[in-house]
Amino acid sequence: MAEKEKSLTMGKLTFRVQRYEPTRDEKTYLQEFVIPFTKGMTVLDGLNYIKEKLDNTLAFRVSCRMGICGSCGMLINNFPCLACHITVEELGKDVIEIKSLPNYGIIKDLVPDLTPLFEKHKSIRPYIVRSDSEEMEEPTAEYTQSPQALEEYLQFSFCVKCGLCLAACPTSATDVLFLGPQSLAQAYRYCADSRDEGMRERTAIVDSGHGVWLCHLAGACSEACPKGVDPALAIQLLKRTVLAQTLRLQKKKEASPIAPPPVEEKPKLPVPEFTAKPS
Amino acid sequence: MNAMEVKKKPLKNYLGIWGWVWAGRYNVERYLYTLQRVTGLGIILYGILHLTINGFRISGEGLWEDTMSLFENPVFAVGEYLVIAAFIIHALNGLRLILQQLGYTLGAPKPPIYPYSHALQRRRPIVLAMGALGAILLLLVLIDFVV
Amino acid sequence: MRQSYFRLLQLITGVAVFFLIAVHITALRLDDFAGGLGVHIEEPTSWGSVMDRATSAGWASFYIILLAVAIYHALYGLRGVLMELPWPPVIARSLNYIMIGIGIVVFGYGSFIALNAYYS
Repeated sequence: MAEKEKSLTMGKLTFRVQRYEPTRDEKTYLQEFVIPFTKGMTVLDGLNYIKEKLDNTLAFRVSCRMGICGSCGMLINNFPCLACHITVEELGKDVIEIKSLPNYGIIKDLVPDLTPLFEKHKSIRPYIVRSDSEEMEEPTAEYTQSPQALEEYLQFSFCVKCGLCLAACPTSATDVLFLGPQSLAQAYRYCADSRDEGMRERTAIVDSGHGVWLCHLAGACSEACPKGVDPALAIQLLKRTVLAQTLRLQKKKEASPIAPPPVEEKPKLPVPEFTAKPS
Repeated sequence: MNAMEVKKKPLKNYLGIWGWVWAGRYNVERYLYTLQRVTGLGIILYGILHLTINGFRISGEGLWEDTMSLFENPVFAVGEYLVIAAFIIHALNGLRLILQQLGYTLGAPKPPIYPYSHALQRRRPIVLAMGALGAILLLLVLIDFVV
Repeated sequence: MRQSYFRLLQLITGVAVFFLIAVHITALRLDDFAGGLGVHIEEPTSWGSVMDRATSAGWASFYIILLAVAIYHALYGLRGVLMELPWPPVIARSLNYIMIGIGIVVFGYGSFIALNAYYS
């Protein structure tokens, strides 16, 4: 511990960054940068420093720099993380190896090709599907939902599509066609939604050769998830739902109805005097 | 630089079979997955051998007794112990997987409140109990082998 | 075809194969355990003992059931592993049939040995 503190306060960090320029390179290589350490800095701060001061050709994705957008997923010291989410002190090493996310293509340097992730996500119909297609396309009102029904899927709806789970998943390491933890978890998120009626359509997609049954519960996706979404749990619950549906054990439940129009108009609250001053 | 050059296909970056085996610092279930796979494949290999040797009985008593006397070598006893160990590991972990893959023992979804935990992490005692049971069984089998 | 039927069968055969192989190993290899449970098989690998078991209807049917269950469990598991590999499309398409073929051949071979010894 003391040694770690010492090495970090020495003030110098070595970033070994994976480089790949598609027009020039055949394969990737690591380039070393030495950058100053400042207290509380994230790995992303280091990359920004490199881009600003040392090498402006370095390419990486970044947007919100606060763990909300999910753009800066990278393989940091051999573990998929959001670069903005992990501080240098947390890593506890002064040599930090940063690579593009595995199990995707590399477009340039640290920019992975996330197209397969989005394609797979789209393929499981990640929206509320209703049997009444007219109401679905041209909604007249919202659907009702109790707070208890919300709890069923709320955790899984925090997914930011950063793609770290596919980088962690051992099945995705070889199987390009495997739907992956992200889209399977989202399939469960919509199937568990009390407003949704698309279970049957999604089962047809998910219960296929490269679908939900290629998950072997390694749990790496949940370990890597930066938003606590727990895809592994969602996939196991999806397996149970799919199996129950196949065996017709599932209790038939009605999807929640359209919210009825308000019966009585509530009187509008008067504007408090201290905010609105008539001029 | 023209537009066509930029449209070069992204460089493939899949971890491949090595990605099944080793991935760095992950949870214990990640490596139980590897172990499940290795023990399963090992048992299949043994099963092929076992069936082939058992087929020798068709040729009569002579070949059978000759083959069996070959297996009195202690090297094969170690091999047999490894196969039984693989079976115990595969079976116990498999029973856990059957329960958990059907969504049992994992608990309900929990709103992600920092610091995040996941269902497998919250149910780690199941893995530890299973490991303890496996260790006891492995020891008992070892005692049976040695005595 | 829905995968979940096959997967459910994989889970069921998993439990079945666990009990069957546990009996198989305990009775034939772990003599102290088996003795404690009241089963005594003298020198399980000697020719006389093997043929005794092979010609008893109980053991012969036990072996054939074990063979069938174990082959399904093993080959479905192996198929799951092989499915994840980047095969050329021809093999990927015919993987299920290859597995079914291997299963039939192995089951035919194994049950032939068992029945051959039973009726000898």
